[in-house]
Amino acid sequence: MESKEKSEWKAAIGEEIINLERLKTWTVVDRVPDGRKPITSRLVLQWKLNADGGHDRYKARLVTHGFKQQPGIDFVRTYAPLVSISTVLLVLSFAAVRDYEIHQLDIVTAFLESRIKEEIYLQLPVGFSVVVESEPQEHLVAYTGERDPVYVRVLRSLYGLQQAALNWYERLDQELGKSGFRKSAWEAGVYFWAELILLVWVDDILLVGGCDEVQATRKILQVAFTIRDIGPISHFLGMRIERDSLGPILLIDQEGYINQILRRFRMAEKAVTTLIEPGTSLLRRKASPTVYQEGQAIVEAFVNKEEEREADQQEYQEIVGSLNYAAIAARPDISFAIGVLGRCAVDPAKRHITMAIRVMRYLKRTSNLRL
Amino acid sequence: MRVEGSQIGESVVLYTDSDFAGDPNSLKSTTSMLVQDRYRAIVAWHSKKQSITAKSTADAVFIATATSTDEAVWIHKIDIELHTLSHAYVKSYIPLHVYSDNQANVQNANIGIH
Repeated sequence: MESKEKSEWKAAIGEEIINLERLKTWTVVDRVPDGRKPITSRLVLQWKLNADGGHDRYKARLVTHGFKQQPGIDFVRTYAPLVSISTVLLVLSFAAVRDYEIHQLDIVTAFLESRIKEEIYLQLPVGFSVVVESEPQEHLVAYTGERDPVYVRVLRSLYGLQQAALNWYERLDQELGKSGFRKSAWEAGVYFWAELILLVWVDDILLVGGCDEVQATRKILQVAFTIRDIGPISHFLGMRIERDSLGPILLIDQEGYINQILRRFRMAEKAVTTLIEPGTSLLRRKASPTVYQEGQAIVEAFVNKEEEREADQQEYQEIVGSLNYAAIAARPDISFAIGVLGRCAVDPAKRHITMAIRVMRYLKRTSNLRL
Repeated sequence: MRVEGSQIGESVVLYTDSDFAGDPNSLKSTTSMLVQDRYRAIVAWHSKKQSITAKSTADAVFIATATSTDEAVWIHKIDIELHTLSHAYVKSYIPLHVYSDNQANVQNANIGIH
């Protein structure tokens, strides 16, 4: 590791290992049984940003290469339910009108809270080695920089494993069931307890209800899991949520998320006020000239032009993908434009990139529009 | 289109419309829909190309109404669930409001209601 913040990163890795050991995530094995392939893994190092986009903390997380798992042996079911954005907005609106508390919690190393049913072996990233402790006799893992491979049998759902999200959901579901929470009849991930609503988005939890009920529920969760208390909601799923002091209104916008997109695709310059330039062709690249006459005219006019050339598909799909989340989460106004762009994602032409860039410029101009 | 009358502010509202053959690649129409909860907060919306080809504007709008109503009904159910948390008595029937500005569509949709 050659970087200026070497010691910070080492500390972050140490913290992750302590978390993993504390939960008894694995047992060290000498070798993998015949016929089984160990799954490889790696360390992901991240700067975590705080709400203002500033530097917050260093974080290391061990992730497994779940895509190397063999279906039927290493995992069976992988589907995990997720609440829809509509439900989140519905609950937020309900809370605003009732003037309920909206409290946000984060379950620390959520996936590690659940046990794994399958027998899975893992090869730890290079640099990990086994340290034998004598009292009590234990095989601990440490980051020493040595290069011999270390194998472990996984006991808990490590990040990256195919079934991790499902296992976590089942574990949480069980825990909430035990504590007397009632599951919603229509939406997985929504639970009720008297008048309190509990909303689960993977490892983020929203508690909506009266002050006393929120505190009581927080205590229940604290007993079962390690939680990080974020407090009254301010940012959730890339949306900024603010209470209006004037009345029962919540203001939701995505300024932070949109600025992030704009930075990522280097869209610092001009801003525009319309989404799609009037007269722009919505046709695909190489659209069949037989579609209809108007189409034919357009295709002929464009066919040899620079903007009809094949564009970088990956870049295009990244742009449209990130914009699509904005359209889904808090921006009905760009829904249509994104829909048109999405249809062309299979084989984008240069002019489609131009269109996508225009949408981004529009967002730049309007990033503070609110629901 | 008001499928069933009841006071505004009591339940979820769906607004839906469609263009006709708006996509020059497939000649399919595009559904647009918007759902407000009972407090008039916008909770769901989309603009989506229809999966089948409509032969007329009336068809296109009818398809739009049918598919959006599916989603609105589901939101409507969650909305009712949220509001019946503390009450032992559950109001058995709260209508979902559906609005559409297409006359043919309103006629079609009301067949079977009277």
